Amino acid sequence: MAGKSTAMEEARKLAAAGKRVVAIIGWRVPTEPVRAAGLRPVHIAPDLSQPTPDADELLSAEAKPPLRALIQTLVSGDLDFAELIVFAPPFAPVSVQLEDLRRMGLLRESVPPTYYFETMMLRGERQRQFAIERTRAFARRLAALDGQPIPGKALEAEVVASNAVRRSALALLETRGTTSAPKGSAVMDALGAGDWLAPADHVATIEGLGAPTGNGPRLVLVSSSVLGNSRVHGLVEEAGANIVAEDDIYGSHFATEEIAEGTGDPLEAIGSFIHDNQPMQRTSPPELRRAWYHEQLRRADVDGVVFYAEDPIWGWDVPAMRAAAAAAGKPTTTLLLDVQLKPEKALAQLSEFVRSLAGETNA
Amino acid sequence: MSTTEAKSAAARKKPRFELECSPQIRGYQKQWYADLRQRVVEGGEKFALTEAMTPHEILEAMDIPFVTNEWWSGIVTAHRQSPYYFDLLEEKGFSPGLERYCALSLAGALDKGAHPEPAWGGLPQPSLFVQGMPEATRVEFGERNAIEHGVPFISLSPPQTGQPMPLRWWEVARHGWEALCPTWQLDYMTDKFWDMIHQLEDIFGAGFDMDRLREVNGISNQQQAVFEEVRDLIITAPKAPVALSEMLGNVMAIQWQRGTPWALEAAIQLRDEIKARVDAEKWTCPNEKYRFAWVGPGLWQNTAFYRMFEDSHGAVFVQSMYMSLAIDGYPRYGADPVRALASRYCAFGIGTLDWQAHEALTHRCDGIVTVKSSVSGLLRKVLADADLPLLVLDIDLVDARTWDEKAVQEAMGRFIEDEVEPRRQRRLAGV
Repeated sequence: MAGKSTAMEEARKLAAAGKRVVAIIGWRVPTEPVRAAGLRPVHIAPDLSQPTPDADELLSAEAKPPLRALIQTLVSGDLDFAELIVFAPPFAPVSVQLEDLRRMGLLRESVPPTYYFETMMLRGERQRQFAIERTRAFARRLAALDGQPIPGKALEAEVVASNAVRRSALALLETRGTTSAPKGSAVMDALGAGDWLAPADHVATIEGLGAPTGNGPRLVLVSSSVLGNSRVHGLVEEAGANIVAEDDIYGSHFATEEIAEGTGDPLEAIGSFIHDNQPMQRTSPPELRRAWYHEQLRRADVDGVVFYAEDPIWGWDVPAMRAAAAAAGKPTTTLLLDVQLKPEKALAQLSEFVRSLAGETNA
Repeated sequence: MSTTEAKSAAARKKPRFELECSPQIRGYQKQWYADLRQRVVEGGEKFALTEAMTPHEILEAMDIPFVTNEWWSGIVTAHRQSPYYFDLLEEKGFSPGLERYCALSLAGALDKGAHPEPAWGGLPQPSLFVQGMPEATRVEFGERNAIEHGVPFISLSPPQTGQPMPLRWWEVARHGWEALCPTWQLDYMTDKFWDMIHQLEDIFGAGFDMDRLREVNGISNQQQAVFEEVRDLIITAPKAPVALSEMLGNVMAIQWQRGTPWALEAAIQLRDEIKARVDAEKWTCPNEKYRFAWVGPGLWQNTAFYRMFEDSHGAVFVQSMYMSLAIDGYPRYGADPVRALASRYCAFGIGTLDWQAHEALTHRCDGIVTVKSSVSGLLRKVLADADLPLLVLDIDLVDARTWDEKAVQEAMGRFIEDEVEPRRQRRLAGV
């Protein structure tokens, strides 16, 4: 995966080839109804490498770089090829800003309509029903693009296709527990290719991955927001270590569960899956959010933990998590910067951390 | 001139309070807290710690004492103890980028009574933390705060819609709130409020009575209606009868007690005193020439700023979001007060562009003043369309180190001369 630029390029190619694209900005939007409606979902992430002159003019001085980047992408017409733009957390503010611009007549007519999809952080029966109802509403919105309901059989088929991807991903993820764990960046790129690939192509990509083995200390990565790319993994590898697990839906949580098949109500099954598999960063209560992390600390083959907060407003759990790591004898380092914006600084910190781990190993 | 000297110089020029009720309102807060603290510490009474964006009326109706987290942060900050607690948070490993202001209750829990003279005796052990903001990071904070206090946690974080508020929302929010947000959002929040009620019954052993909630909500609505009369007085009086800096503290002190007889009585006292000043033509700035609105959160690092230009320029500040939001954003009428209150947090109009311009215009403002963090290109356009000049100060709202009195005075002077006065002349000429 190469982040937004690749997804954007692939989305453009799909549109140019006559595919009807739905652009998704945010995490955990169900893609099965999109595909079942005959559309191609493509996830678009903020690209912080580009200038944002229009967004700078429109937004406050306090607006964060991802918000600026997405607004710039949207107002400059980069997503005009999409039939629908679907926003999800954490990008509700982008959706609001965009619709405010539209209402004020400051948006080009060509910018596609938008839809917002969100399920709750908290887990529970009320939240499960909410997720199911939101999934049904999303399917209705998609169906309205063509004025006809999404066929149930097509939905069932897409559930099966998604599960096939998850099974192949699970097999790949299981290789990370071995001594010849593949490079974390290669795993992330293979899993992230699902941002634009059709399920069958994604399975082929994952199963065809001949990833080189990672070297050096084996680390766990805990990110404060959904990663969506392999940048941190790449820097860790450059520093001489390898990420073997990450608390992220693009990594270790990609294939945690499958959507129930053959239930007769695929939308209910999809909504229930979405409820059960929120990104860990958006999961409440904290015992559930951090259970996976504590399991990793008990692993003998893990040498340390990297905490990553691209935006320092995150991290209320981090002191307690660092203390737990210390108690488990796992050294930690905390990156409080966006690696897209400051890769050199991040690399220097990671290199020092990896050297310290090597020193401990030698001692 | 140092920051402290600048503040002192500005403060010396004006009395702190012009209204007799102001020190009484401030004094009530202190006594109320002292009484609550005594009941908790000595009598073992339970209380809830709640965020501002939560339905306090429900707790009030269930006779559950509560302290508002943001209010507590203000008390600690006013005692100039926030640096001590901010340092403690960093010492405990919390990154400096976290939103620290609202974390002063968490810092107090981590301090475990080590501070020799905590503000107002310190915050005793609550029995519950209730959180209300929608952002995931705020939920994470709330959970951490509850863990460190060792108490249960309730999140009333609403699902987002991704849509801006309907235009002119304030015209329908009191009675037509059902139309302000999608039914699915309101249904979810109503259910969450009922969940909370049942949890409160379990934790506090308190009973819930719908008629009692109707009564409390009715008092809250009455209080906001009295505030509306105050706003009307400020809007229609020839000159401002009260200083914005004095109103900020009064409004917030009353708001934190909304739904109680005291809050209603205090609001009435405030209104009557302001009306008496209007009737007697007692103005906060007798030479008033220019009226301004302050957009966004208040300039809490130096509220004396709001009176700094009265003598030199005849400039008064008459509007901020705090009272306007109490009047337009809080009242909720209807037979089902639980659903009505849930709608408040589904559709809260704070910061909406058309509302800010509307409020400034109805207050007959000649211009808007704010800081960089509170202004966007969209706001600039809305204000420009409304022919409202805008001054953006390059200072921080809470960090006093960014204060530069000379630069602020020069900027305000230029703003009045170059933009506000020409607009006034144009208007006088009917252009």
